[in-house]
Amino acid sequence: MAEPILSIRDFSVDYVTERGLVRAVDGVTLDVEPAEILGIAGESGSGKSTLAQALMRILPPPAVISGGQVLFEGRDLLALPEDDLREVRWKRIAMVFQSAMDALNPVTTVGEQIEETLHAHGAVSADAARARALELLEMVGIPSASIDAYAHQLSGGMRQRVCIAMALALHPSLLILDEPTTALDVIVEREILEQIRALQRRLGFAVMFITHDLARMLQFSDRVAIFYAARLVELAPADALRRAARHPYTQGLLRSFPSVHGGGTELQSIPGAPPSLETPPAGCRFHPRCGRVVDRCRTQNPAWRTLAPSHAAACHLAE
Amino acid sequence: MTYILRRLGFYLLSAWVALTINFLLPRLMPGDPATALFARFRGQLAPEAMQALRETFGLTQAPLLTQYLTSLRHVLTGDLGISVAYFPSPVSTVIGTGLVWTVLLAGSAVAISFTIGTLLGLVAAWWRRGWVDTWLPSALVFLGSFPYFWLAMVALFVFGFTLGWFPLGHAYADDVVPAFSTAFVTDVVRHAALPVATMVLATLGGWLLSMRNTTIAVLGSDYVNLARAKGLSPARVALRYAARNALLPSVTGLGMALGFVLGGSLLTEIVFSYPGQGYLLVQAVRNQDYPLMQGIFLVITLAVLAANFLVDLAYLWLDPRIRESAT
Ligand SMILES: Nc1ncnc2c1ncn2[C@@H]1O[C@H](COP(=O)(O)OP(=O)(O)OP(=O)(O)O)[C@@H](O)[C@H]1O
Ligand SMILES: [Mg+2]
Repeated sequence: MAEPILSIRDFSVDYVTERGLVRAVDGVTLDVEPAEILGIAGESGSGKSTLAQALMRILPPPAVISGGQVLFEGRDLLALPEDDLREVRWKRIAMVFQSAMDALNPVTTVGEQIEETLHAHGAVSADAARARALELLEMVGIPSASIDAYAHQLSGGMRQRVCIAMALALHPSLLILDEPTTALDVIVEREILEQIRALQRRLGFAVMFITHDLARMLQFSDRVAIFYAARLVELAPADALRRAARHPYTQGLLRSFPSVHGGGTELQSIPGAPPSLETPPAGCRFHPRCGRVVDRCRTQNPAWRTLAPSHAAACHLAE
Repeated sequence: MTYILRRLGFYLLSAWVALTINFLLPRLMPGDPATALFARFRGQLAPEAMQALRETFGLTQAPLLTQYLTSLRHVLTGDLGISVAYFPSPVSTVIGTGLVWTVLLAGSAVAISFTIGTLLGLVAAWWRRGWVDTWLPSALVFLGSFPYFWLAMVALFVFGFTLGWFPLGHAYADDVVPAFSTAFVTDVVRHAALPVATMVLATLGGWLLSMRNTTIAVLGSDYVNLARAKGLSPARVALRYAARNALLPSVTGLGMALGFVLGGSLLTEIVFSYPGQGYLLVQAVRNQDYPLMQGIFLVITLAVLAANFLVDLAYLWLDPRIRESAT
């Protein structure tokens, strides 16, 4: 296997709050291979967006990166001086934000926001930048007249497409998609994901695809990482996960999505609610909701175990 | 375009309401103020002045509606009656000279305070918990908590009287000829410096805090995050993204401030014996010069409305979301 394009090692991120530190990403270790689509799934609040933004070091206070390493194309992003990091941002790693509704500057036009990105990363003439912006918008199916539109003049779906077009402007080698389709209806969502996959095949960039829609994720991704309460609990190829998930939480998730489990057995949701990150449970964080809990789960944090080539999980019961 | 027309309509309506109140107020006062005035001034005031007073109030035998229409016509043609205190100058002339100085004083104070305060607020928010952010807001709030009157007196005493760096009062020295010359302009600036400085000091904290707080909120927004992620230079993120968006609420405040300062420069003008609106108003009260008082109130009201209209225009230019709904 080739060198991973991104290696996250024991990465932790905290939010400084009045009641103390809230660890939103806790000791995560994860690789992204070149040209693969890695899905990241987990319930709301499990730290997915925090992880994505922290590894580009764009999280504003009160977030602090409290440990670990993020190796990207051989460089440690956490140790890189701000000026060098600016080179990596967007040129090498681009991102579509979860809230494309609010991700565009309300006071400048869509075209300007794409063009300024081009200008920031190299000498381009104004004409060339505009031509490129038009080309990008066309690629995601936005009429060229909208290049001079402001964000509020576009529908949610169009803004999302603008954000995707912008993300592809500089041919990044890693594209982070943070729930890129939340504002869209099912048909548009499918269309956009198809579009991204086609582009990904053509241009060969790697994708980190964040969602809490497990069904969508399994269709779209090569490999899937499952997050629970700030921790990585299972990592496997998509089809392996669908066939034989090893972590009880993943199994629960699969049972709760109709299109994944495909009939036969009854649809079940996982009982209880995810824990607060301010006061996470001791031992395995999933134990209060787990149907197969044993004594060890309540006190011991399960180690990360490799169960099969490229399939790993953190569960005492998975051997 | 409809936006401008709508706002303009609103301000015209407000102006009309102000005119009407200005007309009704003396007539609603218990005991006719004009008659009381005539009694007090009988024998002291020339018959022409008496006549002027009567006409200002439109206290003719005509029915109320006719009086009202007459008074509206007078105001629209700039005829505010004759001043008692400065008899026989027309009120409009008296106010005209005062207005120039007040607009100069209050206008430059607001402009300077807004510019510096907004810039400092941006700096404080950008370098959060830096020294500007740590010391300046509390220091300025501390200064602002003193009564303005006291602050102005101390400034006048220390810098005017004790140190003698600035003149003690008036808009320009007696021995300087009012003309568009370097000597005159320098002199006017020297006279305005201290009053403007006190007004700036008293209001700076407000601008700073408002800009600081909105900027902090904007810096946490997704579009600023995206700007950082795009690898834009910090200067561009700070100006095109943070400042540009955080400025909008402050500009709204600017309209209100312009209005307040026109009325509120009263204290400044008294302390520094500055011949503006406020100073005139004191003269008017002292001499029971009702026509002048009415005129000043009217001018202040209209100035507030005009200032707000200008701010609306600025907003239109700054915020495309409004421009959109405007067309
Ligand atoms: N500004 C903040 N201050 C304190 N805690 C925060 C802050 N922002 C996020 N958190 C905490 O961090 C945790 C992770 O948030 P994050 O947005 O990364 O979750 P997510 O997995 O992306 O959720 P979603 O699916 O809803 O987008 C949340 O549980 C939240 O409580
Ligand atoms: Mg999220």
